[in-house]
Amino acid sequence: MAYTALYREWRPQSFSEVVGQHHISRTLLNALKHDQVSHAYLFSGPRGTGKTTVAKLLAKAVNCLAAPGDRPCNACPACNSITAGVSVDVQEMDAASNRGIDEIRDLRDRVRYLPVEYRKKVYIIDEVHMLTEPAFNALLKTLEEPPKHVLFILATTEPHKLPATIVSRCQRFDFHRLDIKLITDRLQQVVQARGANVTPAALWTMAKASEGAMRDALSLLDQCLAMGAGVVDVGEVQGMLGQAGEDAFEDICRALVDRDLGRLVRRLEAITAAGQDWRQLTLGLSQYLRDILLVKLCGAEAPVDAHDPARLDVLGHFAQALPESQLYQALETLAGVEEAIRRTGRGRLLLELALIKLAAPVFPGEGVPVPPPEVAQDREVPKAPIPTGGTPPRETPPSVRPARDDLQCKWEAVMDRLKKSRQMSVHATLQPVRVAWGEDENLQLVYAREYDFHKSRMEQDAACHRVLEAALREVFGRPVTFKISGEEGMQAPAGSCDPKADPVVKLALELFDGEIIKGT
Amino acid sequence: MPRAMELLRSMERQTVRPVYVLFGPEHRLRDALIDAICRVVVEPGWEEMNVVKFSGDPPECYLMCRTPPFGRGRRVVLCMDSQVLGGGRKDTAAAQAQDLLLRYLAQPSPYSCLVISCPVDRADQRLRVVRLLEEAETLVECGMPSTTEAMKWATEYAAGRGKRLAKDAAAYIVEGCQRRLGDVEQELDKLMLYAGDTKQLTLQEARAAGAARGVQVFELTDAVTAGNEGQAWSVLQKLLRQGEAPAMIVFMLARQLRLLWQTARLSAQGKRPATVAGILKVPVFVAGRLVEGAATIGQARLPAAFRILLEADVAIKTGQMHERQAVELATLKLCRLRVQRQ
Repeated sequence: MAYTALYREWRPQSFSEVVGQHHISRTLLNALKHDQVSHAYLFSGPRGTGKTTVAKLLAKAVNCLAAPGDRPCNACPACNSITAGVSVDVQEMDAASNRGIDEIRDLRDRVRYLPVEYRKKVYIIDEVHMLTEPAFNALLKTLEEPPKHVLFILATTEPHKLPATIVSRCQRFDFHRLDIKLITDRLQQVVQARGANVTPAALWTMAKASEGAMRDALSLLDQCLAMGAGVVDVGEVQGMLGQAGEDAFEDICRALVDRDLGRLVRRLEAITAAGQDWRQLTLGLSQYLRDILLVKLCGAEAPVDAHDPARLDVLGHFAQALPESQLYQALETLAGVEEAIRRTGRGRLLLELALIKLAAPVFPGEGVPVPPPEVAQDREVPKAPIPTGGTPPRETPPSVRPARDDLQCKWEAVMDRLKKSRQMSVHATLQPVRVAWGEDENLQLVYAREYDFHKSRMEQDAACHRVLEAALREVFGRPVTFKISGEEGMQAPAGSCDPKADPVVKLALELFDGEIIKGT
Repeated sequence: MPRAMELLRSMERQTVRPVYVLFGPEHRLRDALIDAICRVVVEPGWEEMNVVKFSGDPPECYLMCRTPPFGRGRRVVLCMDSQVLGGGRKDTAAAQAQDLLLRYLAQPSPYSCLVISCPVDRADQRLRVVRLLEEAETLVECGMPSTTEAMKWATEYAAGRGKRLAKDAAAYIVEGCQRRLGDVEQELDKLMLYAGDTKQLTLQEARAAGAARGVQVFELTDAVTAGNEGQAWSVLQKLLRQGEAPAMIVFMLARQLRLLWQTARLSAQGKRPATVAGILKVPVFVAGRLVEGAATIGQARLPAAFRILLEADVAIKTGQMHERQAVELATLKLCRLRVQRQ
């Protein structure tokens, strides 16, 4: 016999089995009991929350041959044929693939005919927001005054895309995301019934990863059970999801607390070796820091996931050790990193840089960061950094030109400043630039050939110049002049006359056992 | 110009005019008014024969108006989606419809009541037809009802179905549905089904039934202004679980804080809640809550609160931060503002 996926096998067959949507089950049961079933329903909510399941239950219930209080009975021929999906009176239509006016006209023609077997013809239109505008208009009239033997159930994940005229003709029910606990309980029930061995922490991780969607949680469980016999523990689940374990987050937080750059780098090295996804790691770490912040703000009553009491203790420990300002700063930084990873894909570099900055919040040569004015009086001023694993910060005299790597860092600070001061247009114009020091102490902004538009805008727009000058002055602590050039006009970066000195060239030479050939 | 709500309340007592031109955004009110006109004009039992419905402005509708009705009483001729209040020099269809109506208005038929429904929210006062209809007192605005009117509507709707709707539950539903009567009725239908055989519909039941989505944003603002982090967090998570968009939550918080700011300024000028309610166009009980909230959060902290919300809004809209995290952080920061004040 063919295998049935867990989410299909465990699809609720009665209203009492529906999890986490009590407000809907009770209302529909009462409507059935008092024979006050509406002619059209709109079920909206995130994926995997039970919209189609409840639609099928309702289709069964209105056609069930049992007494009104016991519907659906799952024993009568009507219930059986609808459960098996063979009843001609219950039609499920996918509006994503039948979205045109012709399909709706066809449906409109069919609704006139009486049901073949049972009391009501039920049309379940899934993903109804995908219908075209003329299709909606064609449906409107039928929805407004449908024949008495017809029940429409529209399901959608995006109700805001539906015309108000359609919404107002339906009784609308909003399905909610499910609570982690409810999902965990249901998974436990499935695991028990299957006689499988899955640890509670693994179930909790699956429930959390499903983001309130029961179908996703059951699919994850299905995958885990398919991995093999034996005990499924949290490590296996995290491995499957590409997530780092909480021990990694704990270690990183410990390094942040102790300002132990060595430990931080070692842990990141281990994560790289394990081949974990950097974006997932950033998101997981943000979540962990968020939980610490919540424990700090709300104490033992913090609304965090505490499936394991020891976790709350660890979070409490970090909450005491990390100042609130550092937590906010860390969360904001990681949010930026996550966005940058999505855009550039350079996960390791970005996350490493951000975490090192967080472990040593005062950047060499930058002084103590000033908190935003509105909360300045309330925030704790970060203590001076005590980097234990790294070299002590060197104060760079303003007259001395920074080294190339340092210049890169300073340029990142300039870009950060532009972003924070909402100069998004200038920021975007400077995004493709490579920077280098010119011979005449000018900062060279070099654009590649394909960024001609950016280059010409930067050359012509005086306002852009002013904004950049101000940002450079703030970061470098002195006025810095700059020159804009294309790739062909680029001067060789100062101090890099010998190409062998360039680390990238050096690495390429080593890797490919190459030699330098001077071009004409 | 008579308002639909007042006309509806006095329909049974007054003489029905030969023509009504209805417009405005409140469609449920328009439908209720049409039902009331039909009830008063048409003899019971003759509705099938004497209520005639047209779409648009066909000349036949005037012919129908001049035709004597079947049996006793009068006839109601309905013209839905009429273009009579349409404007523009090149709108010949609208000009034709206006011309026909003005000619009919000069000599209306004694056999019929002509009800014209226009799909426009406002009547253009520059149009001659609008001025003439106003003079004839036949132009009826189906505008949004006030909160008090909507609450009364909700209470009467529930009473008509044998239920007693508590005042706070009525306010909760009306606020959540933003005074749209059609939505209010739908939510009440759901609430009544949820409650089952219970006669009294309470606020707890309205909340449990999930009636009036969106109203929890007000609960969130209350928790935020009180600095109650646990409560704010729990309401926020509930809203997010319900699928409320984080950007929408930020917007609603900002809107509510704007009201608090206005209230704080009015309170500082010595205005009482009733006066505040009049100025801000909110019901008195809402004004009372606003006065309380404004006193709790303190005017000095409001600029910082707006800055926090602005940052969250920019972070969400520019993709700088995951939207869920942005709204969570903003909520916590807002709560902290209050805690720091203490």
